[in-house]
Amino acid sequence: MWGFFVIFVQNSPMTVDQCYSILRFIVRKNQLGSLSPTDFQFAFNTAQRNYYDFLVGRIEQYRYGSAVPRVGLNMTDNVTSRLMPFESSSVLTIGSGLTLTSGLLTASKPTGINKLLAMYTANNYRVYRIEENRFAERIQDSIDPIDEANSFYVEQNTNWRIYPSTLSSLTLKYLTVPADVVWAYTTDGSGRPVYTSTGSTDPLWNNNDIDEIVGRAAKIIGVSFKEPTLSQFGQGVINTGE
Amino acid sequence: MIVTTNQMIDRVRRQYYNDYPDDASVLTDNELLLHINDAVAQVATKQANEAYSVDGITSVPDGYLTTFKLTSFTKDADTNYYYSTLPHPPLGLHSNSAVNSVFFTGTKGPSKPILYVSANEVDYFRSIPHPPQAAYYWIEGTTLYMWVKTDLPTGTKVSVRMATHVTSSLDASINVPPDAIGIVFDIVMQRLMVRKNIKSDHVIDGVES
Repeated sequence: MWGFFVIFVQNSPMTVDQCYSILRFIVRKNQLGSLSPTDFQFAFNTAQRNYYDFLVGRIEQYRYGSAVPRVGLNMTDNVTSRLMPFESSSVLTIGSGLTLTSGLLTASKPTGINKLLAMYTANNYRVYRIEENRFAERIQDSIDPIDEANSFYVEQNTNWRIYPSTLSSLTLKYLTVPADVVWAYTTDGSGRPVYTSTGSTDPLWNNNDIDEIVGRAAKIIGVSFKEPTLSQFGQGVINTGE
Repeated sequence: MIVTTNQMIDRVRRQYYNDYPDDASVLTDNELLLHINDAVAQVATKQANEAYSVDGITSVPDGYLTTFKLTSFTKDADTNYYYSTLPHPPLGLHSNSAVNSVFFTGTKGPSKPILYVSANEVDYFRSIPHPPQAAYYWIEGTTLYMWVKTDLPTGTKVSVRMATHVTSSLDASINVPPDAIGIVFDIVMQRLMVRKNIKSDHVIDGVES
């Protein structure tokens, strides 16, 4: 019974309060005094977006002719699994995400989407991506007809143009961007903030990723406080993961 | 194990991408089918020429053969030649070796073979003696021409047994002898691997590179 309890505690997702506690511990360790909830939220939310970008793949690491980052989405299951808390899917149908207007079929981008993982038809044919500058050539292509087996999309600001326009259903798999964490609090008799889960937003990351994010947050706080020790600590986490 | 054309397509794609292709892959089934058909034609021709060098007879291995049944043909009002359309031109083997036989069906079972005349003989074959009830054919591209003395009865069809490099169904067994399937695969891969070294221009800058 006790063993089950231990396992439960180890696997339960970390709360925003626990993240705040860890970061305060690091800051105190570096003798920087207190870390306000607002500072914590700024640092942590920036850090988690930074880490998310790192896992998806940094475009700064692309080279001409080789759009391959050092670490990127689907590189290994280790990378992919870490992003799974943000995995989502939608089935779009005519009138519900799919719009057919004057022969043009468009699919609305789901709320919160950040990275499209896959788009496929009702019969599990992939819908592949065509850039706008190749669109005309694709339409005029004599090898591949514009049918479900050769369906494709062109990305626009808020939606995708879908070809062929005869499709009535699309399945989307995508990643959403991490939601901002919120450390909600009430104040005690001395006006000091006291954590409350009401109104708080916990991070969705797996626990082992929290350490990576905390390290990045520490670096950001170090920059904010002009404290090189914290920045070095954060850079160390980014470079070596520990 | 029977290999279907679809399996050949998937096999090439998996080899080319060294995995299951992802949804960014640009090698489509139709494009691969063109490469595979070309390779089959190339291998069939090569094997026929090799047979010629061994036994003096140009013959395409049976694994490439199929019989096309042509149900629609027309009589030309000017020449009185019947003509119909083949699914594809015959392979480029000499002396019409790519077409094994042409015969009528549809009325009283298979007819006697329709005799082949080369394109060079078309203009005078009718002036020379020929067997009774003889019919002749020749081919121009995908058009099969036939000459018969009398009008063909309604319901007559034409069957053409010939080597083919295409398939009517991607799920059907590929029209290639089993010992040549590997050669077809290798030829397709050789052509595709060249593509790996061609830089693709993905930057919109108005300059072709």
